[in-house]
Amino acid sequence: MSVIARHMAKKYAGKIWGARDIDFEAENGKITVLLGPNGAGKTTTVGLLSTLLRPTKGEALIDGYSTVREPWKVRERIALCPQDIKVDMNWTPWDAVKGYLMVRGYSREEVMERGEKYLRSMELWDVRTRPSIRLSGGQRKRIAVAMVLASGAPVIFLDEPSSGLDVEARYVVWKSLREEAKNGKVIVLTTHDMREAEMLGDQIVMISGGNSVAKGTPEELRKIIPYAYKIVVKNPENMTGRADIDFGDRKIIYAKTRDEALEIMENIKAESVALEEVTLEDVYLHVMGGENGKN
Amino acid sequence: MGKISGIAYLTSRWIRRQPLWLVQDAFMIVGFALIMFVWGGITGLKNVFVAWFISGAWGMGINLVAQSIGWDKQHRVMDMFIAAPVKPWHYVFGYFLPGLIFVAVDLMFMLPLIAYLNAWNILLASLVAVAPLLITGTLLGLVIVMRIKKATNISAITNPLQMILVILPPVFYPAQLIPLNIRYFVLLIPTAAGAELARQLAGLSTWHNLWYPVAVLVAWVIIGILASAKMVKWGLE
Repeated sequence: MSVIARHMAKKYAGKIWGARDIDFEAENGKITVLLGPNGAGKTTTVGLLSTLLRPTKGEALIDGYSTVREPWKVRERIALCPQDIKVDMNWTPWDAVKGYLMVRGYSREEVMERGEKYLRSMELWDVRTRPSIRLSGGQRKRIAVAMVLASGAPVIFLDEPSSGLDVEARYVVWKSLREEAKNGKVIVLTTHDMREAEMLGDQIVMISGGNSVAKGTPEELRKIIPYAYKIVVKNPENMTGRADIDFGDRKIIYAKTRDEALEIMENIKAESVALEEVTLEDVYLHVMGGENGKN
Repeated sequence: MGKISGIAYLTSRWIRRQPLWLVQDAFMIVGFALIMFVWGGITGLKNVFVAWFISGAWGMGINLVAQSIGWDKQHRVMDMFIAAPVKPWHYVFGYFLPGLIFVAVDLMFMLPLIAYLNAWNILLASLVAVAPLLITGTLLGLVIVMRIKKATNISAITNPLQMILVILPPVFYPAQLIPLNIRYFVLLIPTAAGAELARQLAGLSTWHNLWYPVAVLVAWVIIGILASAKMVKWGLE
């Protein structure tokens, strides 16, 4: 089972490009994270992969089936948790999962078994009979995640599944997603949260301006940036040298080696000077080439 | 069948959790029956049967089914069903079936009166006219709601469309009151054609021109099918 996006592009009405050139492959047993800023084209990419949208150029293949030529073969194999989904306020968590599993063709016994398993994994079992209007926003979001995970579909798309969730709820979702990946599922999710990408992703595809601009494991991506360290300076007194990222009274300077970093640090007088290894966030800023990004 | 019953299960939750809608529906029937009886005696009462079935069928299609689907689309729940092995007709039927609970409640309240008046022919005639109206209302409603971009416009468009086409044309009053040359134009409205068909079949109309409302309803069903086939997209947009 695999998900292949081959140079996909999507032009909406009004000649707005939602995606220009998205190219990557997601394998089973792995979580592929589509990482990018708002408006980068992540949701469009998920829409193209999940048969919601027709690509203007390129193609998407799910388990070898084209989303355009064989959408029904594709739909048998996928489940989607859309961004900003609002489950019906009258649905209880149990209603939602039960109904969705009935739709997916499970028998009564299987519905009971899977329903309980996934509501427990999303920590919704204790509130399973409570209408969603009486649940928190995070619990409502987890209902949708429970629905798609319970579906048993071998390919799962989640568009910003943890947006709006508190830390504990996010960990609950992450844990379930890692377990599903371990069970051989292909999971493709979108986020703009670096930490989520770093914690969850076996493979990360960075998307910017509708293009997939970098891809690889978190470790591979860290090698893209020509620096290994960063110096974080707080309230500098005498800093006259370069500041790669400037937040006013906080500045970041990148260094290729530890020795170079230590040498730079010797010449800085500030309230605090800290040396850290580069993270995915630094790679992100480098690749995206944002306002403060160092290219 | 599992797919339809799954969607019907989900879409029936609101009726289960908000049963007062059914109570409101029941009171409306009793109220209208009283009004029509007070002003029009037994004839008025018989005519309200026809009008109630026609307005119920039209409302169920254009308002209940289409509006619910419209909200589903706005809330992105529909996207979950598109990205699943659910065919569009599974989905629409899944929404349609719970709506029949309202028809059942209406019938439950009407049946004693129908039995008392021995008006079974009116019931049968009304059911014949209801079928094309349900199809037309649902399909045209879908065409409208699937093209609405702003969520607040769903009710703002479908509610008046439901009410205006039931209150203004000859649904609660007979078409034969309208001058003949205007009557042909007025009966182009699907609800008016449905009511006229039911009245003629039940022998409540003095105008004998059955082919006209039949032709109008057939045309509306065809328009509904063609318009929805062209304009309602199930993914791959």
